[in-house]
Amino acid sequence: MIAAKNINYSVSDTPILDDVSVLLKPGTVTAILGPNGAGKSSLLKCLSGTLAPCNGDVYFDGVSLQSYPLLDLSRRRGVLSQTTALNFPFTVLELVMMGRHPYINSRESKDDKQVVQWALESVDAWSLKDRVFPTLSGGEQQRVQLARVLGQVWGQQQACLFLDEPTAALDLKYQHQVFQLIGQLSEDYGLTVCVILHDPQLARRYCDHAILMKQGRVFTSGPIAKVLEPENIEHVYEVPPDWIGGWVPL
Amino acid sequence: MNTLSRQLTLPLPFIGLRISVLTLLSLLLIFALLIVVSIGAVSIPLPAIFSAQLSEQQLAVIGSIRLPRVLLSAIVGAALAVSGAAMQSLFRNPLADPGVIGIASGAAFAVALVIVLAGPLSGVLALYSLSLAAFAGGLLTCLLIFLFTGISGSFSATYMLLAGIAINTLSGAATGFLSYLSDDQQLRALTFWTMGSFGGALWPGVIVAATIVLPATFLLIRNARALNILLLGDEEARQLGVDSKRLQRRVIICTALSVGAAVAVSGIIGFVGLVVPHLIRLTLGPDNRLLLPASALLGALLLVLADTVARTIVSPAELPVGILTSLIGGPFFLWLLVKQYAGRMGL
Repeated sequence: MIAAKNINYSVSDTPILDDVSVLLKPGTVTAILGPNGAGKSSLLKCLSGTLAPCNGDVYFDGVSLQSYPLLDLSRRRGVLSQTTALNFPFTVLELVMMGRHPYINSRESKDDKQVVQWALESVDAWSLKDRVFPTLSGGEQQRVQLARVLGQVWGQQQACLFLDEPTAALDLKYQHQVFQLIGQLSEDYGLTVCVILHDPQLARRYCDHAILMKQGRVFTSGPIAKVLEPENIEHVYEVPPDWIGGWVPL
Repeated sequence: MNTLSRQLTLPLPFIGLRISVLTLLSLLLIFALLIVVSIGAVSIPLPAIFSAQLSEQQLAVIGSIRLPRVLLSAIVGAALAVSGAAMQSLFRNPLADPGVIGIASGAAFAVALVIVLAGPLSGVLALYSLSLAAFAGGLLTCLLIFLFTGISGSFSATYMLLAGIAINTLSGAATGFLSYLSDDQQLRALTFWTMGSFGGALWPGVIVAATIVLPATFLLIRNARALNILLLGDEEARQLGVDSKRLQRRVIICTALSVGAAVAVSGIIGFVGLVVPHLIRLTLGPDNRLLLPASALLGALLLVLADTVARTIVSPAELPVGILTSLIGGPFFLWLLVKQYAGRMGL
C-alpha cells in the first residue's frame, strides 16, 4: 500500500505538484494520465521515492519513504524511467542482471540467472540475450529495461512497480502484451502497479484505477471507467468532443 | 562507444574469464618487472640476479636506483589507469580522464607556485617541496570542485565536468602567468616537471605513493559492481539500492588521492588514464569488476615498459616519459574518436 499525503513539489519556486494525495492498493493497476507537463512523471518519482517531495510525505505500508532504507526499498519496488541512456557496451544479459543488484552479495547465483531468464522471456526478449544493449532498437531497449525492472521485484511479495510510459516505443502487439503481463503479475502476486500512459484505450482495457492530472493537481481519481468519462478527457486535455469520439466505445 | 567490437569477446563464462585475464596480466607484469630491472646503462644479466651473484656496484644500482624507479612507474601506471577507468564510469563518458576534472592542472599550478615564488630551496625541503605542492594542489582542486557542486546542490557528472574544464583553464592561465614571471632556470624546471619523469625516483616516494595508491585502488575495485549500476544513471542507481551520492563522493576522493600522489612523484603523464581502460573495454567488455583490476595491471605494465624505453632510447640522456606516452597516446586517442564517430554514423 502506497499513500501520498498532501505532497508538494517545486523546482526553484515553480510548483510542479500542488497538494497531491494518492492511494495505491496492492493487486491493482493504477494509471496516471494527463496532458504534457501536468506533473505525471514528478508524481511517479515522488511515489517511488526517487524524488523527495518538498512538503508532505509518501508512505510505503505506513512507513515514510524518507526513513525507508535504500536497499530494503530496492527489494520491494522497481522503477522504469522514461529515458534511460547507456553508452557502454553491456550485453542484454548483463543489463538485466543489474536488476538483481539488491540481492547479490558477491557474485550472481543460479537463482539470479533463472530470474533473468524468466524476466527476459516474459517480455519476449530472451532471443536478444547476447546482443549489445546500445545496438538494440528503441522498442527492444524498452522491453529489455522492463525486464530489468521486473527482475528486480521478481518473487517478492507485495512489491510495487512504477512504470513511466513503458509502451511509448512499442508496437501495437507489444503494447498489449506488456499490459497483459503487468495485469497478470498484479493479479497473481499482489503487485501494486502504477503506470503513466497516454492511450485512454489501453488504460480502459488494462487498468483498474486512474489518476487524471492537470497542472500539477489531481483533477479526478477513482475507478477507471468513471475517471475516463468523455467530459473529463475533454476538459483536461482541452480537445473538442469529436476528437474523443473515435475511441470511446468499450 | 564502439559497441560492435564487443562481439569479439571470448565466449568464456565471466568468472573464468576474469580469473584467467587477471592472472595473465599479473604474470606479465611480474615478468616485465624482472626483465626491466636488468636493462639500463649498467647491464646486469638476469641469471646473475637470480643466482644473487652481484657485485656491490650492481647491487647498489638495483637497490637504490632501478628498483625504486621501476616500482614507482608501476604504481603510477596503476593509479592513473584505474582512476581513468573509474572516472569514465563516474561521468558515464568513455572519454573522461584524470586530467579532465582539473586535478593534474591544479597540481601543476601548485608546483609552478613553488618553483617560481619560493625561490631556490635547499636540502630535504627541496626534495619534497614539489611533491608536496603537487599533492596539495591536486587535493585543493578536488575540494574546490566539491565546493562548487555543493553550491549547485546537485552532484551531476555534467556539472563536475564543466567545473573541471573551467578549473583546468584557470589553473592553466595561472601557470602560464607564473611561467611569464619566471627566469630561465625556473622555466626549465617547470617545463621538465610538466613533461613527467621517474628520473628522481627514491624509496620514500615509492612508499608514500604505494600507501596512498594501493588502498585507493582496492577501494575502487570493491565498488566495481556498484559503479556498473551507476552507469544506468543516478536515479536508476538509487532505485536499485545504490547510494549514488556516497558512491560518487567515494570515487572522487579515491581518484583524487591516487592521481594527486601519482602527479606528485612523477609530474604529468598523459593518456595512460584514457588509453588503458579503453584497450580493456574494447577487448573484454565494460564490466567494472574486470575493467578496474585489469586496467590497474595493464597500466602498470605499460608504464613500466614506457619508462624503460624512455630511459634507454637516448642513453646516457633520458627522454621524459610523459612525452613518450603522449606521443603514443595522442594518435591512439584520435583513432578512437574517429572510430567512435564512424560507429555513431552507422558507417
